[in-house]
Amino acid sequence: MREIDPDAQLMLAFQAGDVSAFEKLFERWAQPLLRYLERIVRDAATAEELVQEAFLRVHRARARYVPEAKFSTWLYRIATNLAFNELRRPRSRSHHASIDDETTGIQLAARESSPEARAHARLLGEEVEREMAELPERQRMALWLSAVEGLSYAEVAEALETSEKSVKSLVHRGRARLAERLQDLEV
Amino acid sequence: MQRDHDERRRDAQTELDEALSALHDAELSEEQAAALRARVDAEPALARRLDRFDAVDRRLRAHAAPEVSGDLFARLQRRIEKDRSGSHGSARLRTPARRLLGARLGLAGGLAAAAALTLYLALGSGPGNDPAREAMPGLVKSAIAPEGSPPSSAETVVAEREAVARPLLPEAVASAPGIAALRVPALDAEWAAASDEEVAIAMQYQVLADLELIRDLEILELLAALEEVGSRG
Repeated sequence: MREIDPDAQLMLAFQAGDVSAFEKLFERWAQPLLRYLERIVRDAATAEELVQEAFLRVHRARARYVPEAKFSTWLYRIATNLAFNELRRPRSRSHHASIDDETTGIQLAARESSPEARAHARLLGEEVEREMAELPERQRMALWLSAVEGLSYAEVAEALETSEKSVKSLVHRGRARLAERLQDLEV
Repeated sequence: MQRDHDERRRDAQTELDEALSALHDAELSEEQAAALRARVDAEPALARRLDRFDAVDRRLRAHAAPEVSGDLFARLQRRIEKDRSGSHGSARLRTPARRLLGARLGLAGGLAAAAALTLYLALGSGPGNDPAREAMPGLVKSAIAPEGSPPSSAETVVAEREAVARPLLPEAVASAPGIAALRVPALDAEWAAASDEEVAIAMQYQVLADLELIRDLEILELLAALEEVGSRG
């Protein structure tokens, strides 16, 4: 028999009436979900709202929940659809650019030794961020879920409602574009 | 001739690069991975490329994400309570409400189109080599619910069309190879054109406010793809 993942077990426990299981799921997944959504909608407050919305959907769906896939894949799928909705809202595009683009650069730069190296690392970080923001949504989502959240192509496919072949291509195109940008800066 | 050659070379290059990316993600079969690793060991350019992919991922992972607010779960609980008590405040439907309408109306038209297409194919009257492609534009257009339909009847129309079309959908999709691979943005024009009255109707579609939405959007995307193929055909 197929083993059910621990999160799906929590969801089943929640379905059976254990309210603390829902809280555990929230504790486990709110942060990764926020990180993913913020990367997509590029606004921390909106991302947090969407995290809330995603968990509200999970809560509403508890009675009908069937563990067909990993819980996280299902959750990312809900979040992805919410993010798509958000990005399609006419007034949403402009304010999704308030992310602190410098933070990543700073974080990476701090690991470098000399001030020059730190400045360069910071520049690279900022550029990768900028380029990432320019990627088409689906490339950005696929690359993030695969490279950062560690989902397999099959899981990303499930989350984005597409085929594994398409995920392979989306991840590659996004990564290749960022790699070109890095190369330009390093030359 | 030269152009064909160049194109083939580019395709092969892209394929190799894509395989490298998949190798980096440990998504190749054992045999494929072993073969590609041997090439990487022998070709420094490939090794550099792989390193660069790794560098990209490291930089992405270094992204400093915001922390979840300490009171987020408490806020979520308040929303759940509100949800339970049946209070459908603006917050709940703020994001999806207007889009739901577009999705719902689109679904009605799309499902009807699929049903019409399936019937058409079943009758075997499609001209040309690819009857699905030949048949689509007119059928899709004629099946879309007319604009300005009285809002009071919209729900009934949707329900009726869904009931007829849903069971036929897989067959319609199977009749048009390659559709599933196409992804098309959802129906923003319909969304934008919706009146407040229509939005109010959409807000009653509780079923679309939860997981049904996901399934319906999937179908919608597929049908939008059908329509796009049709318009190109």
